[in-house]
Amino acid sequence: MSETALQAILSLLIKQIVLFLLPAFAVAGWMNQRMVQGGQHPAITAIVALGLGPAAAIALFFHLMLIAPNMPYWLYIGLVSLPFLVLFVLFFRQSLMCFGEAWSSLQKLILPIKGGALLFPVGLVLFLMAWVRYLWLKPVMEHDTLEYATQGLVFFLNPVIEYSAHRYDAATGFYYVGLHGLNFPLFSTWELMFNAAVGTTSNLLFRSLNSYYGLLIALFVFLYLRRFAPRAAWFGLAMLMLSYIFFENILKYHIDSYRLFFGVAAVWSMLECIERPQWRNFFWFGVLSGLQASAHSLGVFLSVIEFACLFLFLPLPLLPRTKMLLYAFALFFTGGALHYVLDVSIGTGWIFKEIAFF
Amino acid sequence: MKTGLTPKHWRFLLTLFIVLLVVDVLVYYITGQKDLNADPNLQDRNIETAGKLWLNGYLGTLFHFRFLGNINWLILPLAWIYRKQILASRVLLCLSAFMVLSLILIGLKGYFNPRYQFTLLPLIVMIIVAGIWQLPTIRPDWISLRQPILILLLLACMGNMFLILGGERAIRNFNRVLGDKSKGPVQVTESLPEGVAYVKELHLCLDSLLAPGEKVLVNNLPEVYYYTKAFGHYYWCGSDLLYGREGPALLFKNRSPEQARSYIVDTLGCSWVYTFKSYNRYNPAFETFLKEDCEQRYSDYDFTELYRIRR
Repeated sequence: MSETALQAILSLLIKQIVLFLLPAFAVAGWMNQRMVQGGQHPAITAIVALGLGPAAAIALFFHLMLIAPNMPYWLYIGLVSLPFLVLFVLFFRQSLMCFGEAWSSLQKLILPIKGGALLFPVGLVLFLMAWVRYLWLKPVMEHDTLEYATQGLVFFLNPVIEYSAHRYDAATGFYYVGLHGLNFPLFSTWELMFNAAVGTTSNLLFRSLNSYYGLLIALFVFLYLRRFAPRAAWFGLAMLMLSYIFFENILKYHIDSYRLFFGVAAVWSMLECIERPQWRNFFWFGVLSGLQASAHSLGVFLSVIEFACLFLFLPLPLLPRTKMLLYAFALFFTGGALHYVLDVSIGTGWIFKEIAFF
Repeated sequence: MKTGLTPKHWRFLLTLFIVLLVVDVLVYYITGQKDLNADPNLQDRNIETAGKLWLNGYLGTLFHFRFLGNINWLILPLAWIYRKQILASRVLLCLSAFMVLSLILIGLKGYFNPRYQFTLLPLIVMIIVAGIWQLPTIRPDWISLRQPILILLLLACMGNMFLILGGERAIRNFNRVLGDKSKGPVQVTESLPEGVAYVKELHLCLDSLLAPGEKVLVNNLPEVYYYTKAFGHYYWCGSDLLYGREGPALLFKNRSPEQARSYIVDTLGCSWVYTFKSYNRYNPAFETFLKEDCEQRYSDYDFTELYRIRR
């Protein structure tokens, strides 16, 4: 039975709380606890956590399906949420501080504008209403996105991640032609499992991914440039929106905003490591570069470049430099590169095969 | 109005304006050239001439103005202006090395796909704005110049956006992105060949159009698998590859038209072909097969087509 608009929106809200906000709050509190002494701005930490949280949850989901296939749907949902729930409780206060700071940073940028006090809440509500209406009206309908969504559907019907020479679904004839990590399709799987567990049917969460991460990129640019001046933040935001592709992309359902977000966050994290070469910064760099890799094949190469740059420019003697990078590399490997190693050794061959351009 | 700008500043702004204009005109001139005899795939990707291959392809991150905006190339002069600071700072050196290596990687491996060139865009915008805002750290008298420069760049971005939004590609894209499929433009139904029925959304009707057990040759349109119960053999005419249990295999290249038809009908058991109008021309053998061995029955808003294979 199909849902009404209200039911679908309500289920979207619940899914966003479970998959987006809970992990984001948990991660933000943890990050803030570990990074605030390093001098990072909590508002930036909050934005990074909003993107990192859901992706980390899905990375955990990937590992669960890899090592413990064919479990009941509700168990996957529960096991993915559990560690984040624990972190959320442990770092609740830090998390509140982090998001409070992000919120007040945004307010400080917008409220001084003439009419900003009215513009901010009204604009936010109107934006959310328009966003949800847009998601409701526009179905998933582009080649790459449908590839990911369909592979997600295949994982839902057969909850196991296996590696073989061809990702072919004998039941439907579907052949997954994607080369990239499986995290993005797994968002679709998670939503289908959640639907099956609670009795909902819509795919609005999957539809919301691109615009959600697009918005996070815009917020990152905005809040990062704020360190120079509020006007610089506005200029940056306007220029980003006026680059045609960003504007077009934010309206699509695609993987681009997702992978770009981790591209930006990983570079930010790389520079933090150079500025403050401490273990905690390497921890987050490892996690973010891993998620960058798990999002897209290009992310693997960008991560490798980042590791090479860190190796060259870290202001540390060779031994501690190598130790810290190996620590980050272990996280990068577990968080994202593992898929490609498996895909090359026992799977499709990844990019080491003849690639067709679609 | 007292702006704090000296005649020297005004001259700089005028020079910058002229440079932006000249670069825009040059890039648009070169990337506006067409070669209608080139590979359709290259034409669709706007890289069919040598100039386009360089500006929209290898150097696309900086010069693909129709896609990524027209100010990204400014990181090159900014890098030159900041060269001493870059060499003196590990952070800037690391960032510069990352940008150079990434630009090379994306240029060499992503020239074919403009979306790959999109990868560095947020970073480039941040670098440009931050770089211009910090110019007074190099030349203190430029403090009153940084805002006019950013306004000029913003105007350049707006002009570029205006140009793009008036273009055919943008209109087509926005129709695809924002278009209300449930209505469907009237002219599409009017332009359909005789005997072809218009349906609003073909993929949603597929289950009712196909008899139970009928199989479809699906030309790279995965919506069949996501939205319907139909069994589809996954094919991509652009590479002439049929994707089956044993992986990709050529469909038309190693077969005569009769053999290909027989393989599709008898071996694969297909009765229908589900394709997208603009894809068909990527492969003349596939297009000939559609014309000679199939009969188009349905088309939708998006020019997705359903052909019945003649028995």
